[in-house]
Amino acid sequence: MRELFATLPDDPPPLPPGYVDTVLTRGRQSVRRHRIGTAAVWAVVVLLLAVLVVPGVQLPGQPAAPSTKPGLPDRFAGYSTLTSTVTTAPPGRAIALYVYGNGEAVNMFQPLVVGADGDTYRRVDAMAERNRPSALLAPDGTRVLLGDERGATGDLILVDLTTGKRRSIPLGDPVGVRLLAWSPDGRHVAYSAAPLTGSGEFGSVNFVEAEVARTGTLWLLDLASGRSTEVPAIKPAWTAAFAPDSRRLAVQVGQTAHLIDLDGHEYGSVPIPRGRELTADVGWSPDGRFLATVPWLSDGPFNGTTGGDTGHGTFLWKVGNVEFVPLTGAGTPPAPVPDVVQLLGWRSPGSVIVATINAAGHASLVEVQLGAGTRRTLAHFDTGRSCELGTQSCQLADLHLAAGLLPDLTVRNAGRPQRGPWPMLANAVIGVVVLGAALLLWRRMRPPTHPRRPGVE
Amino acid sequence: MRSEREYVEYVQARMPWLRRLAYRLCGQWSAADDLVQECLVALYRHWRKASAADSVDAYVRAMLVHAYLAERERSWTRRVRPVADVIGPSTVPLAGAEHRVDLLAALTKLSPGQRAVLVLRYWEDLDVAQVAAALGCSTGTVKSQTSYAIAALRRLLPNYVPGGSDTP
Repeated sequence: MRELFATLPDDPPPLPPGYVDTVLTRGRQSVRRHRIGTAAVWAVVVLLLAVLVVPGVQLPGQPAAPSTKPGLPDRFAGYSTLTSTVTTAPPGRAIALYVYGNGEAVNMFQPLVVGADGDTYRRVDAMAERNRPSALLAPDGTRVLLGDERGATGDLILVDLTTGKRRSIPLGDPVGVRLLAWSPDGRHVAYSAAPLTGSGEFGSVNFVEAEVARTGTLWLLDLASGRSTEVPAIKPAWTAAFAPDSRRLAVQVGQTAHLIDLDGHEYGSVPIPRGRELTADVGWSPDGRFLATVPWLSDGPFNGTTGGDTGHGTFLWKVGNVEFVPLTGAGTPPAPVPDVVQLLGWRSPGSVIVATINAAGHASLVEVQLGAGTRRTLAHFDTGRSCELGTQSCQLADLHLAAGLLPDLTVRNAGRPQRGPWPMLANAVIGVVVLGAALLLWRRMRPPTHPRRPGVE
Repeated sequence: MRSEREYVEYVQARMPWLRRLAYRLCGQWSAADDLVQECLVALYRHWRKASAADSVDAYVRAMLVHAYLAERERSWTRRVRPVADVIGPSTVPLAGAEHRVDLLAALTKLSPGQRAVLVLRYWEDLDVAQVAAALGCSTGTVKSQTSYAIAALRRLLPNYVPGGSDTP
């Protein structure tokens, strides 16, 4: 074989002119490209670390200690699928709890809390797991209490927003639950409960809210002990609001607000005008003199044939007046507050915070001075067309503010939303894409210094 | 730059050897010059590492062989297809000219890996270990590939009767 190969001619022809110079020029260019490429890869790596890791790092003071006055961002952040959860990254005390998103074609609702001490946004994962049930935000913003929209439940879930931990509060036999009001001192919760028959008008379809609204009995829960006490006389409980002293509450049954103490003894009642209902959770004025009422969302409490639509899970849309009903001997009530979608709480006995919606459908939080009627817009919600991949507007439902934080509330300029670490899935997808791109780049740029095995083609 | 001067000196000194090796792999001078250029550009980038190797020639040989094999593995859109060299009729009759033409044609029909093995073993006169080092494979693979390549060559050159040993 060697003799055969030895017969082959291989005297090289002259080199093309400038061959070595061309090699040198290309070599220098190649080195430059390599350096630029390496710098670019490092820049991408640093950028990714900054985007993926830094938002998840809990900087000192995040969640902020509630040493300063609670704040409300002047603009709530828009929709994002990258918002982390309360369990993954506890946000600290919250100023607001709401369901945000849309579900026209794809279910993209998010139960969110917004931090009272920073622009912190978190999904309340326990609430999503329970199919976004009726929920309450504690007056001090540190806890969220959840029912269960999936059906009858044997417990309530208390989510601590400062630690992300959940506490189960047993209810005994499984029942359907509607949460009605949280006392200003944070110690008691009023809820309505009823066994779910899964038959009759609703058939086997699960309508926890509607069924409990028709048949539910009032229960008072002591959060310290976890014990619930039934108030059998108050049935079916429609809405409720605690008095500022946290020792009494008003519960609407039919068109009457029953005034009871924590032992369940009724000591009075107030008629609620037809077409109106006691404002849920925050309907008792801080000076104890009035009950605030809002229009029925549809037909009011169940009257045996119609009504019973609680408005749970319904987008904020209905504009009406807030009116005030004097308690016995309380004197002249303030003038009604017009153009309100929802009464959210009280800054002082003479000032309320309400949700409004303009003609374009954009929701805002507004402070209204009672009597003078002067208004100051505190915050705007982003209800633009950014949900469901930009095809739908983002809507609000089940909005709550931390009522106990409102007297000291300040409004701050909204900063960059702190959404916590990205979800595992997003990180995995980005990681695969980056690794793939890096592999392609490496294959393209690597020098041919590692010979491969010869193979038979 | 001192290292660049050393690089240029090396390239100028070893250019004929490199071109010849590339030609033996590619079978065409124009393709060989392209291959050498690609190899030398990569060598410029890694000159510091190459110059520190035990044998710069072995290092560069491995780079060249690898560049040759990688070129054949590229997608067709990135592959350079040189036009065949125009070889004028020989004015001087050469001994064994018929074998020469047949062998050149037969080599083009082998796979790049098999061709590389034969070129390194019988044209570059390297031993099995050196071929394995250049190709980055085991000596066993070199032996088996050599055996396959010779068998393929025998099928392509049925009239050739070897005068020496063809032991892989």
